[in-house]
Amino acid sequence: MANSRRRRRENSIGGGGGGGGDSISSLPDELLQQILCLMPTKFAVRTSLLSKRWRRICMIQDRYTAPKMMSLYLRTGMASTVKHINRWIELAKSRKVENMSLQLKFKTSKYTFPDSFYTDSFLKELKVSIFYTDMIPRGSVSWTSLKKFSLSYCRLSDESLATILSGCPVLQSLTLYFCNELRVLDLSNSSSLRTLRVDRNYSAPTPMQIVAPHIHCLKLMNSQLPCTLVDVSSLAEAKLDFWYGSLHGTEADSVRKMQELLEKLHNVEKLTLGENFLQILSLPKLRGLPFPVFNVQALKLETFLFEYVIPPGIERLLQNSHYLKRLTLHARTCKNEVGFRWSNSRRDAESKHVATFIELMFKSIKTLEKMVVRLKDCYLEARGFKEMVQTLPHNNNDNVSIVFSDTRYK
Amino acid sequence: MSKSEKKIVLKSLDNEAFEVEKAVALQSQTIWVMCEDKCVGNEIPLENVTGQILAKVIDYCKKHAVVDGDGDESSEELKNWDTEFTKNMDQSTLFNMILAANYLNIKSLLNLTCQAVADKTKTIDEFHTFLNIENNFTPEEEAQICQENLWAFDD
Repeated sequence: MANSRRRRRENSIGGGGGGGGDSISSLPDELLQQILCLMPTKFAVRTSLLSKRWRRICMIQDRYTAPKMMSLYLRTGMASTVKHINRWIELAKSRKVENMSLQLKFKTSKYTFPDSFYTDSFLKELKVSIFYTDMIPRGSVSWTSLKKFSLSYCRLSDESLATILSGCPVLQSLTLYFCNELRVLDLSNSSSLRTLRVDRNYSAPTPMQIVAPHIHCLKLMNSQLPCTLVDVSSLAEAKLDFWYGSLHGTEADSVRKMQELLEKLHNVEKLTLGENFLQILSLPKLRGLPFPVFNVQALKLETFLFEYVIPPGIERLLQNSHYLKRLTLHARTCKNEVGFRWSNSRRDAESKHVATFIELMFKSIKTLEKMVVRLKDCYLEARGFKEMVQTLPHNNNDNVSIVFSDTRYK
Repeated sequence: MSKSEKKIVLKSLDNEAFEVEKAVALQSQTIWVMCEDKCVGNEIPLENVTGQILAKVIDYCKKHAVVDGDGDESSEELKNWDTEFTKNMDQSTLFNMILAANYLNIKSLLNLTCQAVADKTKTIDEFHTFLNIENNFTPEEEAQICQENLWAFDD
């Protein structure tokens, strides 16, 4: 590295370089500091090699004594570092950090959060990912500015979560990822909470119940059995899927649970359903499932169009969505990636499914204003979807605009 | 509010005039303060910004004033737009954009343009080339700096 740098020095002297009037280097110190603040610390330190001026600016800009630190991201898995974690948390608190992310990946339970961790009035966003570690606040919790809270892989009881939430009066968004010890997720006291995202472990059916009367937006990744939504009466937007396209449990039980889940969705305006969800709706044992009428206006199906996805799952869904205005088909699964290499016959079969789907859509829904098909552009071209749509009978619904968009640029 | 009150004229250093919606212009704290103080009429002279740069700043403000559509999609779209916006700017343009954003006090634009420069530092050599500045250290000084911050130079 030293050699190439030395060469550059000679070049720049020879070429009369050194930063003309319009170069970044002639910005005032405070703006250069701002640029340094946006670099990873390592690179910011490296800029001290650029020139004497940059070294001076770099020295002034001492991240650890700055009065304000915007964010702290701490990730460790080494047992020897446990003793330093509390010092980092203290540092973050004293520098009024607004955005903190802690990723602690120890093999066994080695770490306990200090009581002081649970009191911080500057924190706005907190992400905690802690393997094999309990989160049990011993005293009260006071995160008075916290708006976004995300917990992953955390051993957390219903009671501990309730204690934490009681100290977050302005919490707007909560994410729980693989928090397997939760049984009943009761959010009825979190009146400002609008967005809830729960990813249940593939195998663990926990939390089993969600009581969230205030949330507007729910993103729920189910395990093999659907979660019981006890109260989601303010729900306007939902995104649901399953890890697998099959259901465990007895037939009667799964039919009842799916039916309960669908009932809770009937007032949702924006609904997104994943591939496995649609596949489950099409399972033979759920064919007799009574569907409610959905008030959904914008429906998004994140799926690849397989023969077993379209009828009867999608068909029944579309038939019961009387007020649908916007339908988005988003083929974004990894299956899409290999699709390009499929043989022609397979591709033709798939085009047929798209045709079936679009025909079904025109037949079922008269209110539709816009349909969006999202695929990677090269696949759209390869499959001739655009041309195919031109040839389809639009029946009595001329008002629908069909848009094809590339998933890479939303 | 009459139609004329909703619009505002921004005049660049080189006397180029831009008529924009007030909501677009008021993303600049500097312009906001000028309007609040009522020290200017409907036409605001911006003596530190050229027309070429001002046009870009206005593009940015327009994009960020009106965000149509729905929730997370639009914010992601906006992010993509921002990335495209700075992607092909050369050093001189970025330099002038940073100065303009600073002068006009548009925090998000200042952040975006500074970030664009910060992102050029994949390696210190690349950054050196980008900045085209003279390294005025002796080899001994250079070695000492590396020695003091070994952890930052260890790959």
